[in-house]
Amino acid sequence: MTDIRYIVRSEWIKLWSVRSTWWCLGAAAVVVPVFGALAASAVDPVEAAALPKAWLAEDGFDPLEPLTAVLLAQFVFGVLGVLTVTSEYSTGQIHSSLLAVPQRRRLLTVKLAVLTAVVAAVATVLVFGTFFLTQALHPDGLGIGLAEGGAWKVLLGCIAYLLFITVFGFAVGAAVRGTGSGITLFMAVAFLAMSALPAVFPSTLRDQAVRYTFVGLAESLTTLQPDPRPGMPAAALFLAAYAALALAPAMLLAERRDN
Amino acid sequence: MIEVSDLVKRYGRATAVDGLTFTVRPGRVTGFLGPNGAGKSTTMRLILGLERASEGRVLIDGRPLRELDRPITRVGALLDASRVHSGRTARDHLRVIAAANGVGDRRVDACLELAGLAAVAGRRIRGFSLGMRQRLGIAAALLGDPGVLLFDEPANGLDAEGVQWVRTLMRDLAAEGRTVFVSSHLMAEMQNTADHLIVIGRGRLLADAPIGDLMATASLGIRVPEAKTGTAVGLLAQAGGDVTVDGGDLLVKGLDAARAGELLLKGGIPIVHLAERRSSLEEAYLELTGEAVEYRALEGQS
Repeated sequence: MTDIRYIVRSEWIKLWSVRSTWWCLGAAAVVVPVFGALAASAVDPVEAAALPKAWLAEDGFDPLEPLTAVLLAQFVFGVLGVLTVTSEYSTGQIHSSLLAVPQRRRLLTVKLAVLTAVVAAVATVLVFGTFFLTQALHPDGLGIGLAEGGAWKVLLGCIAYLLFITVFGFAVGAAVRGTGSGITLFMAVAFLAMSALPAVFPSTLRDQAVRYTFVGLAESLTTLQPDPRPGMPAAALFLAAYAALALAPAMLLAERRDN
Repeated sequence: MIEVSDLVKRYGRATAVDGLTFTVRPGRVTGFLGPNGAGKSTTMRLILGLERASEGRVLIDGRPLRELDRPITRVGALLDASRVHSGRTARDHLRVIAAANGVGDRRVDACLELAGLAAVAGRRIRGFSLGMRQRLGIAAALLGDPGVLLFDEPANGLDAEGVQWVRTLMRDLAAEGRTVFVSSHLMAEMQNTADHLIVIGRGRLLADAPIGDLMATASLGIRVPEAKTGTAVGLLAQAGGDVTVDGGDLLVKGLDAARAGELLLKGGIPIVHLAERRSSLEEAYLELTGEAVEYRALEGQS
């Protein structure tokens, strides 16, 4: 059995020695703060001052609104997840990897763990950084602190969602193994299928169904507004279930598929 | 040592490897020979655990690959040199593999040096020629300083100097007591490199013998007056010879020159010409695989 520390080290080098990692994380590091800042600076100070803060009323001014820029970045995190696996299979590099680590499920698991840890660190810096940046940009007196109204929960929710979408991308990549097919399938499920999904439900349930799509759950995780949507812990559980479901085929078949 | 027993690999209804059993021993270069499509690469992938065998098993130094601790320190392989992430630098490519089994960066640099790639270590593989990739693949195989080495067509894409380098390297590795298993579809490559040959065709074992034995498969070229041909054939065949006739020329297998000469002399047949033809390895190979190749061609027609 190959020592896990060795595999971690190898996966760490693997992740940082290809340009796509730098491109994806670099893009996220630009998109999130820039769009967050744009959203924050678009707030009309007079109008905003007249509205109650978000968690007090449904149609209030939401000082956390600029954080939705995080959802713009879900794209690149998902693609990073896909590429982390497919770049290895589609190039054939996997042969070298499997010779060193014949335990395929272990290799895949460590790869996922390293990616998740890196994304967690990057997302934390981005989300907290963007929060402080946008609060500073808000008109006087409208910015809030981390503790105010449980704002920190929203920040954690943003990080959790980015982690989810990375894992989901990884799962899709591990299942199909090709870069083109992986990215296509990821986009198709995460964006197309998820927006189409509610339509298969009877109209009475449609509104309900929307809340359980990726985007619906992302909203639950990233807002404090009172709503009939699932709460944060429930949303996190649902996303965890989606991730587990997506990972299942690749993980279960890992030892049986040829390479 | 590599021990392959009753190995079978089926893809749907096609059988790529059909019950192979052989042992590759240390201290010599073992050539793995067969025409394209004979199942050499599949067998190598099966040995390395990259594909699952339908039946049979493979042991490396007496144990299944999966049970080896730090496998690259036991077995190294060059399969398809193009199977690398070409966006990485040569050095990073090797570091990734080395790190996975706790092999340090110093060894990475030593292998780059050995493969003649030290000068381009920091360059992305994308810009490498086929020959450079081949060298990189060989460097990767040597990273863990393994006792068992597999090379699938290592001379591919190398220039004359590179081919010489690979040949010397393989001989040296075997001389150090390692197990060296090298595939090729070209006889000529084997003639100067291998000590022992394993020949397969259509996934089946055709020969497993020292290279000398395969080269010694002798035949005789005999010329007799054309009128006597029939009698000569009868005599030689009766004595157990396998005779092919082409005008007055006879090609005889299964008899040595002394015996054939004696037979003809006794039969009162003048011998115009008699020569011992040591079939070259190439001929021996074609002889061995001939049937297998023919069968493939027939299969293709139907």
